[in-house]
Amino acid sequence: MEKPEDSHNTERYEISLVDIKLNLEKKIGSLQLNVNVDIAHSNLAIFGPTGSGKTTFLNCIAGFQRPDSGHIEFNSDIFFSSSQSINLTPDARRLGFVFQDANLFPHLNVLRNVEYGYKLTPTSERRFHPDELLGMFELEHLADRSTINLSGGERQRVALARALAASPKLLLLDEPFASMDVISRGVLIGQLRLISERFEIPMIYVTHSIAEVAAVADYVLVLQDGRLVAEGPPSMMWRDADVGSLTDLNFFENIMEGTLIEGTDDDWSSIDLGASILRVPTIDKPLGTKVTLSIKASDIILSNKEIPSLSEPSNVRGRVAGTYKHENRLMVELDVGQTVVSEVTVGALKTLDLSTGAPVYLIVKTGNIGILSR
Amino acid sequence: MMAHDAEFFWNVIYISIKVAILSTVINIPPAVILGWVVAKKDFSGKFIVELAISLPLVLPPVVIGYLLLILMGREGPLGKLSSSLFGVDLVFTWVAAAVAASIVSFPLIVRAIVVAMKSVDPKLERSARSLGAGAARTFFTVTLPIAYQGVLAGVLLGFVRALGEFGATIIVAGNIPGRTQTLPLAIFGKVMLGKNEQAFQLITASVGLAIISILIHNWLLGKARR
Repeated sequence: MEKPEDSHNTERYEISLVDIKLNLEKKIGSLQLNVNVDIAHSNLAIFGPTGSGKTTFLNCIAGFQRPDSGHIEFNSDIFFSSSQSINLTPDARRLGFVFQDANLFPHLNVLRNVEYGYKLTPTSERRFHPDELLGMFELEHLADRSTINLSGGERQRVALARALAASPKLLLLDEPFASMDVISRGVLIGQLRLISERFEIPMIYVTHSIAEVAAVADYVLVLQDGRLVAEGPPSMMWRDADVGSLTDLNFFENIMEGTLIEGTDDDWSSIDLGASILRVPTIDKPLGTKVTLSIKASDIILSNKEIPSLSEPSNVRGRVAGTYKHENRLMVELDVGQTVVSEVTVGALKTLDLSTGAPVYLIVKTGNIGILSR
Repeated sequence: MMAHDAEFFWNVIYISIKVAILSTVINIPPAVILGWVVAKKDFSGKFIVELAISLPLVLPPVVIGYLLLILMGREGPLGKLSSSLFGVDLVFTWVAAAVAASIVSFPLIVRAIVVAMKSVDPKLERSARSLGAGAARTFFTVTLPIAYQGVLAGVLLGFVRALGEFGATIIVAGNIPGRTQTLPLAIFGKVMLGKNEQAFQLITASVGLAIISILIHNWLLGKARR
């Protein structure tokens, strides 16, 4: 197994890469989509504002829309080639597709939805049993239920289980986190990481939220007006001011992973982030439980010195990994065993030592930490 | 009602239902296929197909009857086909009545099916395709099961229209008691002869059948919307 060269999220796991060759042109109304990439990555995010052509792009890969011309190839499987007159039908491409609004079959119950693609998969290529998937996504108790009254998070989990049951070679997700509450979103992010780590199914997903990009992807394509304007590791989202300008960095949210470890005090639980410890109000779960945390970049206060007596329990120790200016805001990349981004005002450069490698303490109001145990 | 009258009455009902059932059965396969094509496919010249489908709805039935007479007559292509295959003439048979009724009711069935199939979210069909189902399987396991109540309502509407068909039928099938005389033709005959009491019985039967059909139709549509 090879390791992707870009380093942001990838050190957490190694998974096989998918070789993607894409060259496509399509005109729809006033949008002229024109993208040309040749990359080897496992989790690719397509990021762009509304109307940038990212959904059309995904539909072309899935075979739902036909490019005017070009070439689409994954791991030497040619899906589309205008020069060779190849255009595989969507069912021949063997890709799992998860829509923003789940699109479960309304006439089938939860189990029948999950079984739909499983039954169409040749026996020798089946990787997961529907019962196993229902268990993994905590859906057993819903197996016989109609899909109509499920919550948004449940629907999305059924959609994911349904897609996986067909043992896809690649998973395509169109805005999977939109219209989801924070908890469901964290659970889903955790599950996507699991799919990626444990089952080695590569993913391409479309999003307009940079938090999601940073949480799951190892490589990002940025589309604007149908053109590829930037590509690189997720860190470019906060490092590159031009890319940052396409999104609202105010809403940048760090999605972190940690492990519950033994604390020193009954009032607090300690979470190991890799190189430092974050203390939060007691979580009633066994030690060793994996937790997903979400903290907005603008909710992290930085200090060069440890501040001992505070209403907040945590002074998380870290080091500055880099600073990036976006007009009057400063994105500070920090290493706490994993990457965390803090957004401060540019003035902080004068009051603090933010040179690369400088030790800093991160202070977060506990009420602003989203904790999702799994 | 005297014994003779009763036999006549039930015979008319029997022929009417026989004609309407055959006409509906003939219509279902092409109506479902065309309904699906119009609802789900885009191609150049689609408007011509849509126009052709709606034409019987706007043409006077008598015109349709006359065109069918030419087609099904001894010298017409359908007439020749029938006499060479089965050795029988089509014109002035209950089968001709069924063909006439099917042409006239076809647009109603197709239009209802188009509406029913358009209401099926294309993303559901795309999901099925990406899960490994081919186009035909997607149609039979996703599109049709979701749309079937609307499809059934359309078919029933066509059946009712076929029951009431008059203008085209009288031209290609005549008005032969005991052979091609359906309810509307029999009512017409009785009214012409001034036999109002018998006409009234037939009218009552006609209204009864229509009410039952519309109740079933509305019930199906109500279920489809839920």
